Amino acid sequence: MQAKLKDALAWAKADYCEIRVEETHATALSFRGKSLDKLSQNISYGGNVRALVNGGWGFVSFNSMDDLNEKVQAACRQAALIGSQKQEESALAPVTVIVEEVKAEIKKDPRDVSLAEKIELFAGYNDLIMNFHESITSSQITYFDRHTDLYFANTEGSYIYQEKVDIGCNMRAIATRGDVTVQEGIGTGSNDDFSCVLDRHDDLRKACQLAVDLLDAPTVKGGEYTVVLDPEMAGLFVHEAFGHLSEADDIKDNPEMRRIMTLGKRFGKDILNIYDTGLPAGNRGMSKYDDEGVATEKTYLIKEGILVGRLHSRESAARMGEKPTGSARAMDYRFPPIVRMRATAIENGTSTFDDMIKDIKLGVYARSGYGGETNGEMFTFTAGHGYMIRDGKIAELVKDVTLTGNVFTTLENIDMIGNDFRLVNMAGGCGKWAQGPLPTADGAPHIRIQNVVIGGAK
Amino acid sequence: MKDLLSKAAGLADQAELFTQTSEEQSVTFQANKLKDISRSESHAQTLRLIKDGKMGSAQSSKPGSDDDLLRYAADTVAFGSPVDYKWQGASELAKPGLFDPRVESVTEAEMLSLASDMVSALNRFDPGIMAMAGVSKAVVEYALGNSAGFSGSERMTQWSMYFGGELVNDDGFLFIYDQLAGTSLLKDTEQMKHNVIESFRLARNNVALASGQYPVIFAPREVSCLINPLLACLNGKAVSQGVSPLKSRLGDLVFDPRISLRDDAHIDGAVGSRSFDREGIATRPHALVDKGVVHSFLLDLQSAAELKMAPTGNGGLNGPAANNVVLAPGDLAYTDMLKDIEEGVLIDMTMGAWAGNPYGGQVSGNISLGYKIEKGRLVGRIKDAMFSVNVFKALAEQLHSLSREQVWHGNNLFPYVRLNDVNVSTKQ
Repeated sequence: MQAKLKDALAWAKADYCEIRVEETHATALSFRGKSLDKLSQNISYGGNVRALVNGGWGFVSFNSMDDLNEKVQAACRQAALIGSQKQEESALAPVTVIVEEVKAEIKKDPRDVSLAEKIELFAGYNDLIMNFHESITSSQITYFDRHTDLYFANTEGSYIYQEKVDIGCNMRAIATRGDVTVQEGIGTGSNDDFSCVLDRHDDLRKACQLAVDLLDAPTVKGGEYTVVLDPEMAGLFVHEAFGHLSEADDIKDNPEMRRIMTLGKRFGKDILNIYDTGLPAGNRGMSKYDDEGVATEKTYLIKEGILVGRLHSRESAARMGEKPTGSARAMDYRFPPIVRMRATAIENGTSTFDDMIKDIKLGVYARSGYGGETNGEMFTFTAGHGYMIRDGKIAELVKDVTLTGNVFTTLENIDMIGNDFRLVNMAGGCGKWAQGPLPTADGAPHIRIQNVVIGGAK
Repeated sequence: MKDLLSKAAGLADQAELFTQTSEEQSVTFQANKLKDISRSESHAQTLRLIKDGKMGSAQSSKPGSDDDLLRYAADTVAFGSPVDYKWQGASELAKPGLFDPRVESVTEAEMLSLASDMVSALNRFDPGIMAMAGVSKAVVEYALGNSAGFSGSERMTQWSMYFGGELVNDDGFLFIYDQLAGTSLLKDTEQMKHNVIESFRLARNNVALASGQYPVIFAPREVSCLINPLLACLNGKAVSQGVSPLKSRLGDLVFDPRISLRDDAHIDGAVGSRSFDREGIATRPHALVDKGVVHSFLLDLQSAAELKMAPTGNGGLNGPAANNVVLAPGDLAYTDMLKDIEEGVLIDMTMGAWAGNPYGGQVSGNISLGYKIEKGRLVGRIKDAMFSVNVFKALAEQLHSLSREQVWHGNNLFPYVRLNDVNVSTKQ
């Protein structure tokens, strides 16, 4: 492959050109209700050429490796067409030329587990859900594993092969009584170990019990509350509310964004530390090199409340005079790399959970992240369930807890950070510019935020 | 295709092969500048087998991988999901107009000029706004064949444009966009330019709104907040699993009699149109809700078999899926819907409204672009606000009116919808 890519790149007439080729073999299964809903094995194979001329990018993606030289030339022609209009110099932050083959260090390889064993395992979980309680009417289990061979070469001389594994699983119980339907579940994932889906029965039982209990739970009353988020919700919050804002391809060409995101500016209290990392083994989305062949790293975004960094591709780093962070990621061969998160986290603090709730007269404890969205300034995200906090104590279970707010004021309003950090992996992923779901992880301890708007009737 | 299908049929009781080839070109402007030009060619085959009442499937985009595809499919069918149906043979198919030769022949230069013209218009209006625009075209060919004798194919064009901008200043972030998509060439950018620029003009002025219950108008593109949970509950899979609150309501008046919702795969030029579904069943327009009465569900072969009903041409690879969704219009002009509102809200864009439990019907979302209505006029943008409705209650008891105008957004054709007494929570 190295020779083939090198030969094709020799045809490039561009300031910079790269080729990515990947082959992924995947297994996916799902259970809905009483039985297996879908079982498939898939091969995804293809490549792309990306070329840069005078600041303009050309991009060609394909399934067939035939005529790779012509594809290189086509991408260069497109780039030149843009370059001729932009009259801007190409800018890519310099990085070390890498020639390396990176094999995945797999603890328990999903390819060593037969289809029959996988089905037996998840059929067992499905039976657990369906037999848990008479109110549980259905289940939703999705599981996938993927094994990818990824080849990258560029005109600077880098050639990198990376072997990647991605495993994800979500399991949900759906309870129904009359017209009321609720759901609750668990998720897990890994980039090196099938064991993440084993022995989840106790967690799943708790989720089933919550689904049953939620049938009787009232909808949370809308209003402004002091809110405590569990690590799963806090992780979702930091991803949605701050992670996306740190992606420099949205900042580099916008003078106002650059002003708002000036390094050294205060974003939170001294207790707030936020980072994104590609390093912790075992988590979804981690890898040694990004899709531009840049080594991944741990990047602090906020230290002691002050903005200290952001996530970069080579282009955004060059345009802003900063260092690339190994954050250029593509969903697959059909897409060019753009700036993305990997594991985004709020660093551990010192508060205990009891300390956080003891002086809250009326608040909400939001648990189990369901999903969220941001437009940079505003965010919204939904909890699987929540509890009211009354007079310093956890009180009744509530459902339909959706939080919204302004990113900047909400970060300022984080006034306590717990000491119970954990990284969370689920089967879903992150979406940006039509590329999703991209594997990511989130991490945080419990956190407390003042004055958060929760939707619902007063 | 025939060769592979007959090989596959030898491995199982039934076989089905779907192939799709596409060529797409797009141009993108970001932050006022031409960002990239891209071209993609793709080809993929999906093989499904049924043996002893179980179904397995495999997909490949690797050229020359027929043997792997057969092996993968054969592996899965041994353990596959139980099915209660058989694939069906040939049937008479409608022919909605889905190919426009003008899309095929449009040049990259023309696409660049369309996008560039929209970006320039916004730059002229306010150079502080970072404009973005994209134009893309595709030619897609797909074919489906099965061992029962069905053989269908389609060659269609796809055309889409989006346009918008982002304004960042001390008041915050303001992101506004408009889009259009279809299978025929739609080069008229004037309406999109007008919509985006007028929205920016109106949204410059931030106004306060107290938390409370208000008359709220959902713009057509956000009516999906109300309709998506409904579609999830009309989905045959949710019905057959018993999780849909509409499961035993066929024939019942559940919604306001002005609510009529239909699935229509036969609209010329619409992105969701098709003559047959992903399981080879002929599509047919059908009412889902007729004058407030639950009339039919979205059914694929499996959910139809479980419910002992006929499939509705809504078969997808992952269960039933809507084709084009049409909410019937009302009598009032949009401008007349506003007239008598003393104090209310127009919701034009939302965030996160999808992230709830659809079967409960409870929907909450951030109003990322919304306007305060005062004495029948839009007076400015509201921020830090969230709406919350239960769509079942809203479409039964809170419906004030539907506009006579309908607007396409993706495969949805919706009017403006005005509801009474919608909860809006705002930062105090």
